[in-house]
Amino acid sequence: MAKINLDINGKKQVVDVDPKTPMLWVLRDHLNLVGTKYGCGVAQCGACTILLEGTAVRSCMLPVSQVENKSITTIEGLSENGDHPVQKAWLEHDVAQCGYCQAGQIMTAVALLEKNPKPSDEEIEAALHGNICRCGTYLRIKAAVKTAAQS
Amino acid sequence: MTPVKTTISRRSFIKVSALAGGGMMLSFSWLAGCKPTPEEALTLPKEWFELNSYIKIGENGIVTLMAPNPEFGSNVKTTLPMILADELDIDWKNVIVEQADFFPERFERQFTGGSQSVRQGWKILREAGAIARQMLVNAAAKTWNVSADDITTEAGILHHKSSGKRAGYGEVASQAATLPLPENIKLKEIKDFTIIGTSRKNVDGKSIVTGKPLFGIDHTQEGMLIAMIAHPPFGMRVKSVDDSAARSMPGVRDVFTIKTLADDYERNGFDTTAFTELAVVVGNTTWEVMNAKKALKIEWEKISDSNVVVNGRAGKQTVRVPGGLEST
Repeated sequence: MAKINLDINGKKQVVDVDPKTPMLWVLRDHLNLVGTKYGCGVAQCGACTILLEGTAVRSCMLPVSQVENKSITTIEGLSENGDHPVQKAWLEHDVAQCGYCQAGQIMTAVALLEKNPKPSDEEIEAALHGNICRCGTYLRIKAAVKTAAQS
Repeated sequence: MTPVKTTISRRSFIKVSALAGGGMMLSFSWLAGCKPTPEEALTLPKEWFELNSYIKIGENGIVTLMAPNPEFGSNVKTTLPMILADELDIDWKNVIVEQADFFPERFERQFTGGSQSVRQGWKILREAGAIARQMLVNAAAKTWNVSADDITTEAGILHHKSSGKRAGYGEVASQAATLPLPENIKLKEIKDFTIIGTSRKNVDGKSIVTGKPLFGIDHTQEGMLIAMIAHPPFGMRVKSVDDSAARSMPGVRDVFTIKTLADDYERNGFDTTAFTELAVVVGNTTWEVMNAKKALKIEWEKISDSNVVVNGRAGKQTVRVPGGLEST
């Protein structure tokens, strides 16, 4: 166990955990931030995506020791009231069906638009191809990313 | 409007009561819409007639529907309340949907699959909505001292044309809760539907995009521990478990083996014969339990040929399960 300083959604926090604990479980089990989801556990599905210094990363294979004092954003930290442009676009297009993968989809889309505010169809597909949706909401995801890019 | 005699019997299915904070609650059995034939109905377990789903109408005109079917992405949690809301004649924006807890012994069909949710919910939801609407009409008729037949409803508003009187559902909900259940109700003509047949957004949309707890894995409660299962390969079962390493790891509370089916359990058509003996690790946190599970040294053994009695839709029959294989 080790005390680790974290900066999550703009809030400084200290957790006392095994330094190898993946960030996903620190968020879910220790900080009660359950919006970030467990899917495959081996960084292949994208459900656990969070932002590390603005870059989309898979939290299920990211040891907490590697993110000390680095800025982390989760789905809960995108906005106060669910009015981040990407969240609004997701609602406008009614993207979610079951919704399990959508936090990861949204976080990946946010990272994409921060680096590339006007992505082409191909760039959207390339950025989001690692986020799996079993309901198959891909077409609406793409439409929502385009709407968010215009706002 | 199509007049129909209610098939929801008061004795068995419906209970109307005043909400503690004012308003009306109409409970009904989801199962009333699920009886396929009178013959099969005779064999329905008694528990099916317990009250297990309800409409709440608050004094503010907000309607809540408890949705028993789990939402797995087919948007059934949005669709079923739409059926109810249409017959209730309420503004969709005033509907709140709540997910029912998991009570498979109470709900006939509390699962997702089979493409039957709308078909089996259709009649009961329409009738429940129409009953609630009629009770609100009757309450307004009593209050205004007019005939119920002269009162119309639209989007949660009651209207008596010749006197010009108007009231929201919420204003008469408390009184409606004291009235007897109507025996005769009117169902809408298809052309009069305002919600059914239209596109409505996922009722959980906002919760999903803001990361609110919605899924089984998100559930927490005081003192909760984490358990994980070590599954055998297909057709195998636990022979021995060496848990000495796992037990000494941080956060581990217990390791045990478990049979998933009791010895005298009669399988139905959906039960499998695989994974009936499992090893289980229980601990404080997910990561600790994941690590302990990897540290289990389990010896599996092949399940030999066996005869399994399955009481499925085709009736009771003995199924020969070859060793190492699944019966389904």
